[in-house]
Amino acid sequence: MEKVGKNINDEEIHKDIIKVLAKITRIDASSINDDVLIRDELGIDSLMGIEIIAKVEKYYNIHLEESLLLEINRVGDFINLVKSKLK
Amino acid sequence: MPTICFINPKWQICMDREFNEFWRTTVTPNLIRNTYSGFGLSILILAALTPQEYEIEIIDENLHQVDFNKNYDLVAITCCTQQATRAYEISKKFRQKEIKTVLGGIHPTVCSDEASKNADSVVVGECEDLWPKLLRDFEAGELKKSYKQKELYDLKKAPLPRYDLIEYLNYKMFWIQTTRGCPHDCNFCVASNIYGKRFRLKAVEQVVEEIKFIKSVKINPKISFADDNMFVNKNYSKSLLEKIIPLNIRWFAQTDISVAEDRELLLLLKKSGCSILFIGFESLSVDELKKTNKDNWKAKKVKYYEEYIHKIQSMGIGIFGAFMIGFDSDDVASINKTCDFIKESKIYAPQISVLTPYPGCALREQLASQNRILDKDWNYYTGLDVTFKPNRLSEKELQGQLVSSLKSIYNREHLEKNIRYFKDIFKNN
Repeated sequence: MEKVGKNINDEEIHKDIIKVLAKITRIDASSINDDVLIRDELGIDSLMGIEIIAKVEKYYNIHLEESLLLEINRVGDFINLVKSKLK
Repeated sequence: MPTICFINPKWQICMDREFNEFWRTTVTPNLIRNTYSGFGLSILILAALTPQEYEIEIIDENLHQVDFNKNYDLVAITCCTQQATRAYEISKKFRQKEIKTVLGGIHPTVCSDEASKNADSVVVGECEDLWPKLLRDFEAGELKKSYKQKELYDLKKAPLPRYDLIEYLNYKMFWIQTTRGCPHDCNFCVASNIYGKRFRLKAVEQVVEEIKFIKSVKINPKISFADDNMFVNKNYSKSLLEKIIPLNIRWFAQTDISVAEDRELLLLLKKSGCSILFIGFESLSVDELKKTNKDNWKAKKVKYYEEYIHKIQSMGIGIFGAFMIGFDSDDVASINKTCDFIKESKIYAPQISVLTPYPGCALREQLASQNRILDKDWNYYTGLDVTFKPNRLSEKELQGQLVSSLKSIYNREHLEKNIRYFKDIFKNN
């Protein structure tokens, strides 16, 4: 993950997480939006899922339950989960 | 316009009821379920070699039923051993309608006499040189009973597989083959027997074109390299990986543990998007590994297994580690030892299967000479069903050990430990 500066602003969180997803999945950030399916469309497998959680946890200094990620289907839901942890 | 129907027959993961019940309910990472979900390459290569005047239909029987009421001009069926019985049934039904059938693939290659009794024609060996000739004979009404490839095919002439024909099937993975052949010649494997011990390579540019073609027909594809042992030629591998970097893909490959010995290769693997490496560890027993290949390659590496696993996984590359049970020295204690090793070394996606005497491999000849091959249908050659008489365990005990060992490594407590291990790796990378 590239260090982009920590922002608790919702818009910045959104942008940063899409950047993380794009970097790890190697998919162009412009094709990732809130409605994209994490597993079926981004092809995120369990190892990539761990990588994403690790990068986001380290960046924001938060803890994310791995089990929660399994229940999440869309990118927007993941972003909302991170936002809720930052509040 | 003549129509050819290419069929990949249905297969089952395992015939054992207890295993299937476990598999259905386990917390097994989806990786295990999805990795091998892609469509085999042989049909896509045959389609690429088929002249444009043919209409092509592809049926993967794992996804769609075969319509036996359709009047194809030719039906071509590919199969490995566990699909053979179903392949023969399909062939029989079409032949009853006087539609010509052709069988090819690994099983018809190693059991060509048996296959020949079940089809109008059999392709023995690599298909690229044979298929155009077979089609010309078919058009002339002179289809021969068998077509045999006499020399190893030059992969640099290989056509671009028709990935465009399966885009709609929504497979999780797209397979690409960059090399054929494996120098290790393990006694339980038919790869060296079919593809030879000499390592043959596609040109780096060919592989790049194949990746680009897949990307042009599928958004965000995941690539799996189908080679039995991809990085044998380290210099070629490095040239290829350099060219893969700008393609920006995530990918999976099958290789051996020696990749850990080359730091430059490991860095290139990571940089080029390697996500998972399938590595066959087979056993922890030096004596059993000595029996698997004549040059003792694996036996010499076993003492480095733990160190090399760590070297690879600390790069953020997960290992899909394959072990087998059912070797002659295997008993409950040795199988438990294997499970403990898997857990302690934190292999990302462990796989335990049952040693299987596939036709065409040296192990089958050895066990047959000892009268230890069980009289079982090819359907049981899943790699997860016991098909021979084990030495220290009964057939039933070995089958039970498979499920209990998988239960011990696929439990939530162990998975959570592994997740924490990989989280630390990714946080520090």
